Amino acid sequence: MPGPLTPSDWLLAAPLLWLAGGVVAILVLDAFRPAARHEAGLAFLALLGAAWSLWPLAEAAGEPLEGIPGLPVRAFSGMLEASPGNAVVGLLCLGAAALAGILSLRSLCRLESGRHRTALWTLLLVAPAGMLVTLASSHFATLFLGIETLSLPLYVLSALRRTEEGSVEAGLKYFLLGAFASGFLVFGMALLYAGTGRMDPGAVTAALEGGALARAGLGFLYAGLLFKLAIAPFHLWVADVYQGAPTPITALMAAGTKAAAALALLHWAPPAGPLGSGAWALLACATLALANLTALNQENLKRILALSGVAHAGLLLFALAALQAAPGSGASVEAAVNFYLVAYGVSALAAFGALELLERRAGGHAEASALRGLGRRFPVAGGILALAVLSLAGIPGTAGFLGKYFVFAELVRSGEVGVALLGILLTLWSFAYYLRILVVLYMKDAAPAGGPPAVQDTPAAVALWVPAVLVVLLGVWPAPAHLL
Amino acid sequence: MLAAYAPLLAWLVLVLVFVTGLLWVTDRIGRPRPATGKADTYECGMEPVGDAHRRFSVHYYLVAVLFILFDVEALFLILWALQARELGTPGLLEVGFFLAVLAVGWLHIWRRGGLEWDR
Amino acid sequence: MIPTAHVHILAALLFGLGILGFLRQRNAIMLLMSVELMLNSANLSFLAAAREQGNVDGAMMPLFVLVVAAAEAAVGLALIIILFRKRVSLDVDLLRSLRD
Repeated sequence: MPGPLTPSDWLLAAPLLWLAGGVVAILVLDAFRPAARHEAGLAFLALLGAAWSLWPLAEAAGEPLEGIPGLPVRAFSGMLEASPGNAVVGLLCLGAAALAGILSLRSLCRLESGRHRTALWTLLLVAPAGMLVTLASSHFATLFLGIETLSLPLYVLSALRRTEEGSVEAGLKYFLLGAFASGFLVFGMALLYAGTGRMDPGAVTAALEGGALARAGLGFLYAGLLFKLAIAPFHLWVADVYQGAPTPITALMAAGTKAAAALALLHWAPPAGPLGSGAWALLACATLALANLTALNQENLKRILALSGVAHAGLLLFALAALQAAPGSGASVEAAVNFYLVAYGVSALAAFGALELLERRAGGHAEASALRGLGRRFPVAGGILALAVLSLAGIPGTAGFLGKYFVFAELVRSGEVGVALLGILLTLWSFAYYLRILVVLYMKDAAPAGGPPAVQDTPAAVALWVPAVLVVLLGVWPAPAHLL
Repeated sequence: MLAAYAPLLAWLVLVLVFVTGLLWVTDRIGRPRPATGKADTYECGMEPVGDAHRRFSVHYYLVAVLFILFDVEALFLILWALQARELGTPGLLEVGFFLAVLAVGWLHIWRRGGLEWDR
Repeated sequence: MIPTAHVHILAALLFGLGILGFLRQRNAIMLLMSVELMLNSANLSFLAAAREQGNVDGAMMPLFVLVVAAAEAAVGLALIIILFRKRVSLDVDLLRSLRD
């Protein structure tokens, strides 16, 4: 029987308790004072509290791991496990939820005269809680519960604009395919457990030496995880869902879900074994190539950014390939992945956030034709989107460049120079569609203003500076982050 | 190995014999007395009116969905109940906390009118 | 006692049936039911394996899976009702307003 909670249990549980407490408080408030306007305040308080309680662990980032006893922190009989670098990614997830909340204050919050306000604020707290559990999961139960806790709120949030066909369709598509992937994930877990008798990441190692049952389970498990990370051939839902969902929610999905799923995959990645680095490198190249190929033919900027996210997830698999090729490189590969996730996360937040503001000026449309020339008319939002796109492309001086650099450096260090060169070529290819976004933004013949004039949204315009500044800061002064 | 399935097979055979036997016996010794009441969907109780494609209130689905959620939470209560004495006071407090969190959800649904299906 | 392998075979068949249903059906509710079948086949495997291994880890998972399946059903049915109100059809092949 498990004993009382240990300090490390509390360390990893505290952020979750803040978020859960926020949900309960909002529900009680709404039950008795339905018209109260404090729900947003409670939600931000809960997010701040979660970040504050995660801070002690994140603060240890950058110090050599050997210097701190008991790292990575293991909690709840080893069901959760997190290093300081993971905690920094956790802070990114909380920040993504906060930014999605700020962007919603003047839009989603007022939908149908505020009917869905409570749903919005509670679900914006539940989703990051699921992300925190997922990225620290080291047991089948926490992995499954974490992924479901982050997915279920996002299914609902995607469909929040329920009077719009696209939003409902995005929610339902995301739900059906996500539930299908969950089926694979759980069945994989069941087979792995049947084959090896274990439910911790050690099951993966045991499965590689074990029989056909466990190996089949491994395949199902990775199919489920790769779906969440949107790796080819499981990436087809991304463009539709990102396009149909409200843009603040898309920002949360791009930064948070991707980060949580990527860290989960890293935790559950096989150690160097018969699978080899080739399989991961092949998946990475296929994902990059397919994403690039599709993105070139898109008219909708949200779809282009969604496929850019697919390409970025593909690039992450190169880190797994490096881990396979050089088994001893666990710590430095994890550091590279953590930095990459933070760099991509802040770039995606800046990109989707700026796009949301521009979209409102264009009457809610994100097609290239509706947004052309808006970068000239709205220099701040346009400038931030342009900066974010440069970072996503990987131009030196931005966070995105260093993120890619660290991953490819790991690949070269592991001896896979050929794969690294191929990856760099595929990345250069992606410049074509990033360039297209810039051309659209600063085109000479501006689109006529569509729809009613947008509401002045000061909180969103101010909050957008945070990821924008981080994109530059992490690009020129990565010292605090690259030691993750 | 297959012997483990013997009870299942016996049950299957028994069911088939019993049901076909019963049908055969009623067919042989019974006398058909047709009546309009017998042709109804229900011989007593509900009066079938209109066709089966009548529209339900959407609130009916809402209540059904809420039922599924609270229904499944009972699973955890059963597990606690089986071990209640061994788990003692700490277990009671924990299950009480669990129920309190559930109650918040129920309270919210109630106050927001989710349980008023006759509106 | 029924051998564990037989239970796994049954679970695999049910899982395959779930996949087949998901890929062949066009009604959103049928897709939801197919997914439930997949999740429950995993539960069957977990329980059989737990009996064989003699530890309770595997017996614990079905509880969580059941709870999550209920939550998924609730969210899914809610989304399906919204879709039905808009379209008066549950055919998922008609979900094609999002494209380029």
